Amino acid sequence: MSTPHDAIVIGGGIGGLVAAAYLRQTGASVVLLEADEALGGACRKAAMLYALDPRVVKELALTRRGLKFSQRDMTLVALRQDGRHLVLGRDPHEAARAVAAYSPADAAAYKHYHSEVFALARAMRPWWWDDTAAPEHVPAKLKAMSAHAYLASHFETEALKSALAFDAAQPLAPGSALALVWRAAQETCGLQGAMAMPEGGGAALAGALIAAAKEMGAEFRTKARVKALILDGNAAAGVALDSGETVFAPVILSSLSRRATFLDLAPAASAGFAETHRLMREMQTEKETFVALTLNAAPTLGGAQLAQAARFVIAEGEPVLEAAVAASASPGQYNLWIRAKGTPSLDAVIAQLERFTPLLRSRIVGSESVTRDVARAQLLKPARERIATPIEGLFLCGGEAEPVEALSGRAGRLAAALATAYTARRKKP
Amino acid sequence: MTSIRATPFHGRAAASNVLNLWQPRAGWTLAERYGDADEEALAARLTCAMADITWRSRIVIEGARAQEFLARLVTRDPAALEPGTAFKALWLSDQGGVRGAGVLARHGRETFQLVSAASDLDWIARGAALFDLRVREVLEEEGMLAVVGPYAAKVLEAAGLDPALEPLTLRKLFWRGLDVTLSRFGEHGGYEIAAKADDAPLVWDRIAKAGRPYALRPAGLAAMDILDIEAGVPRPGRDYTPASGGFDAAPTPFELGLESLIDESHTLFNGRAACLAAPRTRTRVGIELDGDTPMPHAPLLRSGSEVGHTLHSLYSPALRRAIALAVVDNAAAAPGTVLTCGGVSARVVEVPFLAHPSTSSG
Repeated sequence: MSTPHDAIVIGGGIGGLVAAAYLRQTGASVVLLEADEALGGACRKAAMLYALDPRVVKELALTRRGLKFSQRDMTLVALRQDGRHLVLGRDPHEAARAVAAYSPADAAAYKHYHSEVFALARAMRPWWWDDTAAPEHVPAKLKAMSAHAYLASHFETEALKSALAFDAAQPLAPGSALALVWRAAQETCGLQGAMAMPEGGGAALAGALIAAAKEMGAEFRTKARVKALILDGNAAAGVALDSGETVFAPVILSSLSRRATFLDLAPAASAGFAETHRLMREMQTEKETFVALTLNAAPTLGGAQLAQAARFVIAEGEPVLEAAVAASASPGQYNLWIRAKGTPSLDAVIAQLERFTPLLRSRIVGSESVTRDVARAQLLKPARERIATPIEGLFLCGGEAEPVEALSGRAGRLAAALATAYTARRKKP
Repeated sequence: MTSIRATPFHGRAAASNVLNLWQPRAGWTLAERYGDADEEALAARLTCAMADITWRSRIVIEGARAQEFLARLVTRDPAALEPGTAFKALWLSDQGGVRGAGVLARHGRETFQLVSAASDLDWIARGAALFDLRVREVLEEEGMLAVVGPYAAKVLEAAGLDPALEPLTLRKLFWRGLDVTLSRFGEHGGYEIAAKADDAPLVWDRIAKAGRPYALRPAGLAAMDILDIEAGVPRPGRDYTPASGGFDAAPTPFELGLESLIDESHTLFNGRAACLAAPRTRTRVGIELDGDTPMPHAPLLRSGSEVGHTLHSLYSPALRRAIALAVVDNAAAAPGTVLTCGGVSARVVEVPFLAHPSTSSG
């Protein structure tokens, strides 16, 4: 048993690191417990950022701590087998011209679609970013519509629809149309709906976050797997570790999913009987696979004329994936980052890419592949319901506490704020 | 409920049920009344009556973690229960809606029994499964007979059962060859005798015989309903629809006047946060109606605007007027407030309408 802390953070991914840093800013003593040997979690595997909260970047001084971007606004390039690649840049007029090559009707619809989604995104943003009341008007059709159906209501070209649908994790799921709006509500590098690439990939973001939390005085413990939550009545009191050790604090922030937090760590039925049964029925279905290839020559995805400042989406055939290229730190080497939907084998991913960049296999000097679960989207749930739990003093700060799981840091920031408010309430006589 | 069951007392009840009036309740066939319901209700108040209450849901919860589970289930802490004692409590949905109300009795260190007016076996069994517990409902294998009225203790004494028993306690007895459980859980100050199905007719006979000098008579469901309403006890199904979904927020304990069954210092029970945060704008009261006509589930008006509604309503032979339980806005809940219901004057009164019939053993 150690001296009690003010707060325990379970998990050292982006949510946990951001939460620990913000809690330290309020003066709370924080210990972060990570089961793995290294901090950073999923953050280390991702190459592209599209949801990073600009306030987190600013308030935690991530730029000063080494977060730099090599690409700030990557153009979407939908690769086509027939060679007629579709290039969708920031300028909607230019993008419409590119679409016109496929369908003049879609070109006209594109501007309308773009302005509709961006306007909706601005209206929904406070709801997704902060702990605010629900927006007054969410179009009913979007609440129930799938991304696929929403796009089909605007466009006729399959290439365009499938390229845009990539941004929804499950484009056929009811309500996933809002995921497209959510994506447009993001503001990475000061640009609405932009996708950026940090220098050094997600590891650079992880490094900056670790530095921030560390410099602020958060205590880190790796290889410290939490076995169970310890409660005092219905209030958080601490955690028991696999090692048998106990750590005490009246506030616990968990980066794990609600299901894992309540079914694996919390006492039986502490989520409520009906909620516990709902969590037991909840099945994890969505997975995504990150692949990082190291190449000894630049890949020629989509032909040499396409800028490297692009993210390539391959939506024809399986697996569906997006890819981006960056020069490696080692001279003469390149990194090819891939995020594929589902659980394709490394071989299948390479075969899919080779349709657009021949001889890829012969250029690979290193590869790494990791598959992970994608938390289900909760686009219509208020922040408080995503973050707060039936156990007093227990908050969620991981991917599942976001409207859509993403490296945004928002859940950690909001969870820290809710936890701080809880602590203030608790201390009041 | 798919089948209609006969209780272990059915043979005896049939012999006494000269009008052959039966009523289904919770899947059981029970005598609606044996003669005149009002007389049966008055007997329970003035002398003594016995009633077949086998229809009550009796759920046995057994296992090493039974207490841990029940601390989550019910609105009081079962750690406080010694074996042989019981308390009245509610169980709520996740969002604080009342799913049920009943008496939780501790039979042993790891054995509890929950007695209530409506079965919620599915909810309880699914919850108990999270704690590796065995849960079963007591059905035909055990009959339960209530003995109520001022002379109930005398009748028991005459039958050879020691009536010295505190309310909300139970005692297992060997009663002239029969294994019985004597308890005092009821709302009417009486006793309950639980016995194996084969022994049930003997229990009926012994009580009927011992009660003869005290004018004991069997009371049917109609008479017991009169006693319930006079005691101000709302029952699920009859007075209110309990929460059936796991996340239902209604009805709240406050609008049913059941908040006294919640121990707010017990921090673990299901639905606590939602229940305590629920708005307390309405409450349950008693209504005395002008006249003899009951007004069940009818709107209550004050100066033409609706301020609440009645629950079950019936004619009370003891009060010689129609009465009702009701849910009204707090502003209209003060005793003496005059409302109208179905065109007749309705006065708000405190519940219970009548204290339960006292049982004197001296």
